[in-house]
Amino acid sequence: MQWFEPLIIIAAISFVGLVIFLHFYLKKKGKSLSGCSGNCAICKGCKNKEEKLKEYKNLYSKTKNN
Amino acid sequence: MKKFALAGNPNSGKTTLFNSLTGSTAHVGNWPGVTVDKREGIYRKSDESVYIVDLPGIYSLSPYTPEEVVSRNFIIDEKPDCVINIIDATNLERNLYLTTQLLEIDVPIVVALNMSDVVRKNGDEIDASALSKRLGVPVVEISALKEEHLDELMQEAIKASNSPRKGITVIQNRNLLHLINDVNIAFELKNIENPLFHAIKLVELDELEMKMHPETVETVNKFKATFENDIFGNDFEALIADSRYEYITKNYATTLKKNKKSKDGSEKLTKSDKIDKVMTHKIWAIPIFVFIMFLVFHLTFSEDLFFLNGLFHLELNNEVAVNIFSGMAYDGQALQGIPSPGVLLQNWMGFLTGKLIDIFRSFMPVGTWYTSLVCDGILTGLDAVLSFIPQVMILFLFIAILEDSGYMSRVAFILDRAFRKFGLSGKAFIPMLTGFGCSVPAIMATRTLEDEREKNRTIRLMTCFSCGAKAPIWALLAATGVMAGFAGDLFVFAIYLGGIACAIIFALFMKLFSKDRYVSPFIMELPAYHMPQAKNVAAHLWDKLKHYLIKASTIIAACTIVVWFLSNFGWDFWHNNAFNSAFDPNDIASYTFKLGNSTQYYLTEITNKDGVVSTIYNMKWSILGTLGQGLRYIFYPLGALEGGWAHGADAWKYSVSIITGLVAKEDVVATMVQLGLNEETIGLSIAGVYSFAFYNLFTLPCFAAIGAARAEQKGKEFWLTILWWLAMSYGFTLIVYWLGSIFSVVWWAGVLVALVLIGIVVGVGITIDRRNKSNKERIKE
Repeated sequence: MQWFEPLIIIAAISFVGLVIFLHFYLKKKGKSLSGCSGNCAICKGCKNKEEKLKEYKNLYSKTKNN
Repeated sequence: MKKFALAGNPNSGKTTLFNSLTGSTAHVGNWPGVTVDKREGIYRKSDESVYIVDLPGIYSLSPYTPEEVVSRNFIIDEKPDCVINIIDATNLERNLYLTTQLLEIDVPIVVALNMSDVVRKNGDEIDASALSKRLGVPVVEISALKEEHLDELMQEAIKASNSPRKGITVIQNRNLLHLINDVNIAFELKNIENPLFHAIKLVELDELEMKMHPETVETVNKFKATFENDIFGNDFEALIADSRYEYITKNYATTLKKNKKSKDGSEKLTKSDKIDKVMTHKIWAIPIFVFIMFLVFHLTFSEDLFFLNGLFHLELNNEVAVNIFSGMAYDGQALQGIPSPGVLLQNWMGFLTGKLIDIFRSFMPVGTWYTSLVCDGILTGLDAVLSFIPQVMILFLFIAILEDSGYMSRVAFILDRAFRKFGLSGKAFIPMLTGFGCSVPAIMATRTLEDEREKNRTIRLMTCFSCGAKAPIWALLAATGVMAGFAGDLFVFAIYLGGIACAIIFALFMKLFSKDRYVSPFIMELPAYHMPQAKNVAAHLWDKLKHYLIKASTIIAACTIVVWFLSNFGWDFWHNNAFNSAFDPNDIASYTFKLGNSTQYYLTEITNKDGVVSTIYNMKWSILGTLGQGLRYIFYPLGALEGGWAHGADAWKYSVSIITGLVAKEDVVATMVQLGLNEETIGLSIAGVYSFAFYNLFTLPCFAAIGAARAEQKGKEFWLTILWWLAMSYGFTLIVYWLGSIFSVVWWAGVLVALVLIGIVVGVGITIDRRNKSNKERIKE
């Protein structure tokens, strides 16, 4: 075995690990490596729709209390 | 920095205007509801930069839909310096309904008459200055698509934003006005902002307002008890809407002069109307749609463009012709004809990527594990996916052109007629249309369907619509020997058309087992046809390409490493340094079979002409190979005969490709090629190709799409969806394979099966329709 061979093994394993990490990290942020780019308005909008509604309901209750 | 909001009806061109003003590349859709959330950008062409917010398309400021709530609350709560109200000038009267509501808010407003060029083209004329006087706000005629008068619009908006504006109403009904004024005064005393708007909404008994001002609701209700209108009773919301339209018809709509009228005095048809008479014709619409689809697949996948070779027997087999059309890779193969743009570019791309791998390989030492990892694993896998980029991009180019021209909206309308009889509305088809791009946003878009059952049905049918990631699978199968000649494009056409036909059949099947027969109504605006804009199409393609490259360099690259490891190591993690790729078959002098240091390996000792002895091993006994051999028994009925994908030595490779496809559908092709299954080596029969293709089409989508379904469906419904995907793909493929095998099919079998299926579906549809009509008649009697 040559000196760089372990490095290649480490690089390959790290790359696979990084992709898996990125997948879950981006998923948490509402983005995705697979499936779609997450750029489309339908996707973004739908993801946020319920949150937005909750947000606006809260906003209204605040306004009402004020 | 000043903040402007873009508000208007769906499909009035807000996102196009937003893109033109801010230079952004937000996806512009030609059907309503593309912008569900608000979007932000900066306009930099004036002395001071302006912050622009693109709000979702709405018809009113009543909180019936989340889009209306988002838009209304943005304007009310975030107090933009100016609202640019975009109006589709070709539908002036209806678009002004929202304007009358915006006028009630204390915010500067500028009206942008979009599509003015189309109005002029139709021979009509809008008196913008008269409209401006009557509305009391500036009106600018623009064309967002052609970027006409946009700077003028922004100058007017900046000017308007410098002076505050008090809300006014167009409601003329005296009694109503009296009540509105009372509530308005009450709100003013309470120092509530935008009192007029809130007062009118409260009189309308708007749900949000009633929650905010419960004490004032009583006053309205008292008045309501004494108030009775001849037509609307005491439905205040209808009364107010009627009052608005009355005012619009009397005062604003008169600014539109219809210059051209036909001989009988009726309004003359626009160019779009004339085109629609053909494109959305009751009988011809579906054949035209099928023809357009065929043309798209023909131009993308055909090896014999317009069947020129088939019809005129062109002799294009000389070296020069093959070099031009096959990327300088002449190796004696015959051309099937002039290749389509998709095939031509794919050949060149394959040639280029192949050359790059060869160059890379020449720098690597022969026979080492890392050469194999890099060249046979990562690069070969990526090459399999990347070489299909031209075909995938050409396919999306056509889809983008159809979308931008306005035809895709018609497709939803046409298919609504076909789907409605089977329990799915055109509203459900919009997410499905998105599914041709990617299943993830398509499944998410089913949230727009109010009916839970329709939503579940739509999610289950989503796999019938081939996503972009599956296109490389069809491209690879279309290029195999058995599809030789002009059959490749017909095969892909059959897959897409068969998918749609199956969606209808499956919808009918689901309907039979459902007690719910209600199909929600589908209302949609058909935009005017126009020439697709290069900028929009390019933005759409760039987004696809970027996404494809990101996916290839991350998920697919990682997957090729894992597949390489699993296919080159045994269960004892023993690895042989010699690989198939290191050997030139012409260089082999002799070989002998022998077992390796593990009984799982079937090693072959090879001696080349120089007398160098090496060993190669059979991938069949690798970790992936043994797993695949187990899997192949599950798939055995789907390709059991000679030429079937679950038959013979390569069966395990097809089986594991299906599994790796769960990570990303492009991985099916990457894994197949990595394991040695390419255009030359795939030896499937026609029935085998169709069976493998339909199984991949209908089976579980990628994990991302499964995750999206999990998020959209509740526990039991989600598991039913998984079960449906598995059972339906298996059952349907079983039928396709055995029917195909029994009748020893030829190339047109796929098209024939699809046409027969459509025939059955139309027949059943007509029967159901007749039965429904006779039931209605019986009820009437």
